Amino acid sequence: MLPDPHATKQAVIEIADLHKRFGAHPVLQGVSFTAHQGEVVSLIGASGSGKSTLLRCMNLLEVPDSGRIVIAGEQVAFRNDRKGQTMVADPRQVERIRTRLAMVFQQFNLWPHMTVLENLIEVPVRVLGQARPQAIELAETLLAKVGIADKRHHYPAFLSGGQQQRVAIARALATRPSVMLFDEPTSALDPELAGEVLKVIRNLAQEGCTMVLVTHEMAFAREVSSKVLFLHQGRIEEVGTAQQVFESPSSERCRQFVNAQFCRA
Amino acid sequence: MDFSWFSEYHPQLWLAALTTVQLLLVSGSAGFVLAILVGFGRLSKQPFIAWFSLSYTNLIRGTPLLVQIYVLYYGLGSLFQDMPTLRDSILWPYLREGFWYVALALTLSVGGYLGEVLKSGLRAVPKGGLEAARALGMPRLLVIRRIWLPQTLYMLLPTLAGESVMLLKSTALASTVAVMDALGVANLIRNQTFLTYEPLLIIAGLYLLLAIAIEQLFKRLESRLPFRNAL
Ligand SMILES: Nc1ncnc2c1ncn2[C@@H]1O[C@H](COP(=O)(O)OP(=O)(O)OP(=O)(O)O)[C@@H](O)[C@H]1O
Ligand SMILES: [Mg+2]
Repeated sequence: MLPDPHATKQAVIEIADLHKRFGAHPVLQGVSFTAHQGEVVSLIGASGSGKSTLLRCMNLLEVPDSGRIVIAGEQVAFRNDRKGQTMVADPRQVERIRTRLAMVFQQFNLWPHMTVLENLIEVPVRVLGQARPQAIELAETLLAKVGIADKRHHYPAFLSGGQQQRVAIARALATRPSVMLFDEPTSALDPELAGEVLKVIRNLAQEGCTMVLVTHEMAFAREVSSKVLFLHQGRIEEVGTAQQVFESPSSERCRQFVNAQFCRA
Repeated sequence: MDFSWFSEYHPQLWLAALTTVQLLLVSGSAGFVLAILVGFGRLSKQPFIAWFSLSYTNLIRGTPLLVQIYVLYYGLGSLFQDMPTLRDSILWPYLREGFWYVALALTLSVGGYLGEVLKSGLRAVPKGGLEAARALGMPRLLVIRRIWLPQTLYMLLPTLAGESVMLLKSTALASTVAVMDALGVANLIRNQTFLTYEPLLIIAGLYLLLAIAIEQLFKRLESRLPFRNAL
């Protein structure tokens, strides 16, 4: 028998039996999964299946109704408010956990009143208490890595979408997170600009950066993922290696979804 | 035109101009702080805070500023008059002066009007950037201080310039409660020299110069923002 490849690797994200509804509409209905150090986990599924909501529950941008979330060994504490609504028990804990998870959004969400460099050092200096010179040094290394060192004194509005998204990735990396969360990082980009962003993400994957990636780029997901989750109506309907999910899924729905996506591409 | 009085009265004129500028600065900055609170209060998810802020702006914007000044000066002022502890306190010299009642009234007024402007401005800042800040671990107050408020204020600079000029003109109401501001001294000169137009002309010119200075200051600020087209 082969040894379990994750036996020695630490679990960085543990999600157990997560439920979330918006009003009467159940969006997550008992989602459980684990991401280990160095893994690239891709979330795929039809529009509205709850991918973004699941990702946003991980860093508490959405508060789940029930379930367990453990990030880097620390379990998120919840409590109920007077109306019985679940809320986080300790905002400090959430802030701490968020510094371990860095998120990259579909719409980049850079801060328009700060230069590229200022965007990168803001959190390291103001939240993580890094000294400014060190933060700048790291920021410049990261900008070189994503290929926009020459734009460091520009304002985001003067960059292309692909450049902005690479800045957003560098901004996330600058906080030295344990996990990178990506929510459709290339959906707002033209194909040629998407390519330069995917290249950056691919490099991160090869360096062993732990990532959770929501994406509609099936070919890319197949190439970089160590684990793929197929979500359907708030449940994980298929989970496995990229090869399993894309080539021999046990769920018929997953097979149809994957085929349709590949045909479209 | 007779400006022969000028040499005699000009020290008083400068002092009065200074009083006007002081009123402007004091109520401008205190009102600005209040407006920020009101602006956030209007957006609060706590029903009571939102209701209170809305009622406040309605009250301020729904009543004449002159009435507010009178209510504070004659109402509050006479109330204080009857409080012996206050009369003996070190605050009394201030509480006797019209200046501080007008400054308070103007502060409350700026809080109401500018608060409503700030509310719209705060709402216009893209949610994505705020969410990114939270997602990267920024505490609430830091998000406000570093991301939300700066973008709002940069965006509102032209409006802030306009509101400041409005405030400058409102300070002239101070003369109605015996404050020797610019208009107050013009009235004094009119009474003592029996000249009507000359002192008023001088004082109108003074207000105009101050207004232009304010506009220029804000234009300067604005031209320093290289990202202003992106907001
Ligand atoms: N803040 C919200 N309030 C109410 N309903 C919401 C909210 N956010 C998401 N939803 C609903 O929850 C469902 C799941 O949304 P979610 O964004 O997680 O889907 P998704 O899988 O990311 O879809 P997409 O591929 O279109 O991004 C959708 O039906 C959506 O309308
Ligand atoms: Mg989504």
